[in-house]
Amino acid sequence: MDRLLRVAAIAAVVGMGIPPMLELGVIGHPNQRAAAATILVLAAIVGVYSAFRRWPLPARFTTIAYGTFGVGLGLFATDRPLHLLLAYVVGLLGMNLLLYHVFSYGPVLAAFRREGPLARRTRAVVLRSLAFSGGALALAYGGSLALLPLFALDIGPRDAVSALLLTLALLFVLLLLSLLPEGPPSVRRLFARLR
Amino acid sequence: MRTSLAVGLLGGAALLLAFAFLAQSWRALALVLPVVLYLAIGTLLAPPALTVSASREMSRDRTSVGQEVEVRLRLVNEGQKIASLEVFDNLPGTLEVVQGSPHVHVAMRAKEVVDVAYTVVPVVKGEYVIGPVLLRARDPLGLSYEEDLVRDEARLVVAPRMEDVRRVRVVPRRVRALMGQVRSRQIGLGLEFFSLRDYAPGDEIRHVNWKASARRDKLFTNEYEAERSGDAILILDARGESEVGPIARSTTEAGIAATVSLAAKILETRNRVGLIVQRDVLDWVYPGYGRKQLYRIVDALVHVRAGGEWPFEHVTWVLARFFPPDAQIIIVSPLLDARALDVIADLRGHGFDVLVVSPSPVEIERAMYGDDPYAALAYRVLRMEREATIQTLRSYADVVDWNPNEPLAVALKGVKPYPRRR
Repeated sequence: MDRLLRVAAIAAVVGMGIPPMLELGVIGHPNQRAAAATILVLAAIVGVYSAFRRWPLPARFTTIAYGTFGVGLGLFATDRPLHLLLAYVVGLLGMNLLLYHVFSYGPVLAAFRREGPLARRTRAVVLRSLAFSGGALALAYGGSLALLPLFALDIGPRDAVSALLLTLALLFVLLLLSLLPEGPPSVRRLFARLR
Repeated sequence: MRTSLAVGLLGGAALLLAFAFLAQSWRALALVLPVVLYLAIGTLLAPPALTVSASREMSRDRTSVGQEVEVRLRLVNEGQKIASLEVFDNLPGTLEVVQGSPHVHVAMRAKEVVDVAYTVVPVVKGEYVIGPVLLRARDPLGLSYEEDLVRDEARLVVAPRMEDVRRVRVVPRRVRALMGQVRSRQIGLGLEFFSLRDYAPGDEIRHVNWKASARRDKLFTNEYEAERSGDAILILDARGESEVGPIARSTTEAGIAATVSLAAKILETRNRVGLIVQRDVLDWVYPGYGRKQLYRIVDALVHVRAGGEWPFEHVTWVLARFFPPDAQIIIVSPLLDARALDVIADLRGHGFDVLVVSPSPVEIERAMYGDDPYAALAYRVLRMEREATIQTLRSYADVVDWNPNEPLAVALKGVKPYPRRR
């Protein structure tokens, strides 16, 4: 399973490098395009190294490089639809999360040479974490799409900021409801079950 | 506590936010949403404060190299449910885990008891501390964790490997007045026949040799060889420069195994055994008898690690002042420096009987490398050099050239029970 996690992380690193590579076509100057491609290839190599060595820190460089070219060019040069850009951001999040799981669980999974109750328990914990991570990513993407209309509200001249503040305020209220002892029992029960 | 992933996401979100304001782009601002949502979900799933107790049981607290020790770590969750608890029992590197694992992830319900069992095999002797136990509860999204260090530590004393050298005869030549099991070549109390003499009034009837008396028509009495005890001093060369090979199979570890095996063998035959160890410091155990003395020697050897660059001459100084002058000297050394040879010659000059047991560094190094033609050539050259050294040394002492990859008893077979007088 350790190997499977690592292969998945490597696949994620390589796969997430494809969209920014496709965006590079808009760069007119060949030297600039070659430099950008070199940076992306280097970022991919660093990401693969990070997955291979179970060390998530170097992958920050990969994330920044992918984000700069994938999101930056998508926002301002190729003008990609927002739901695609959101999906890409969620993808980058997922890549980092997978690398973090490889770092956290990989050595433990690799240490089990024989099948036993503890090996099964550890595998169950890892699978549960992966399922939760996938669910959280889906929720983050779905939630973002659901909250997008808030950004279209026409509340004064700085409506984007107001929308963001409103979103943060809503989240804060939701958190208070679930975490404070005085919160509604039904909401608390829901979140207790989630935990 | 926040993980590096959470910090990275917060930093990324902040950067994107700043960029959105600078570029005055609400589209860029909207891209912060998934990160914020993810962090919010992570906050809801944050792990509870840890209230897990841990206790450890071990199948034994004293063992020897190569013997299995079972460790059982009992965890009791006295708090809320924990979705993912990482348990890491801190082990020294020289304890090899052969079954189970001291590092696991488990989910624990409230009040649940979980046993983490594993088996270790020590590969090097020493005194080890197992623990403390590191407990870390993580949220499934990798954003936060709670950590606790349970200071439940256990001590494990690992004695050196002891080889069976019962069939080998290593006995001191010079004996003391006390009874023992060493044949003294003197008439006295013992079991071995020595000679005949005329019967004298007062001789015990059971000592009369009836066959000889009948043949000569005159009474003869058997005389027996007295069995006495002697002193042997084991000198272990554990200096840094004498260590060759990986720690578990080094010349020092092989030397320690040889020392303790010889000590057990010599003590078994009711002799006194003392020990001198040359390492960072020069420490010694004064000669004594019996099982307690063997424990003292094992205790002294358990903590020996190669080190120090003291010249070997100090051993002669200590021997001449604090140890019996007629003792049999057994030096356990890989014979890597010329000064050790001078010391052996010097000891012989002082009148000591010297036996050298030398774990071969050449064989240890040979076992470390595969079938490399250059290594084979180097091996042949080093082997010739070593044989020349040993040949020179044989003018002063009996030398046992021991390949540590083979049993010590095989190498000791050639040792004469009574070293020749020189």
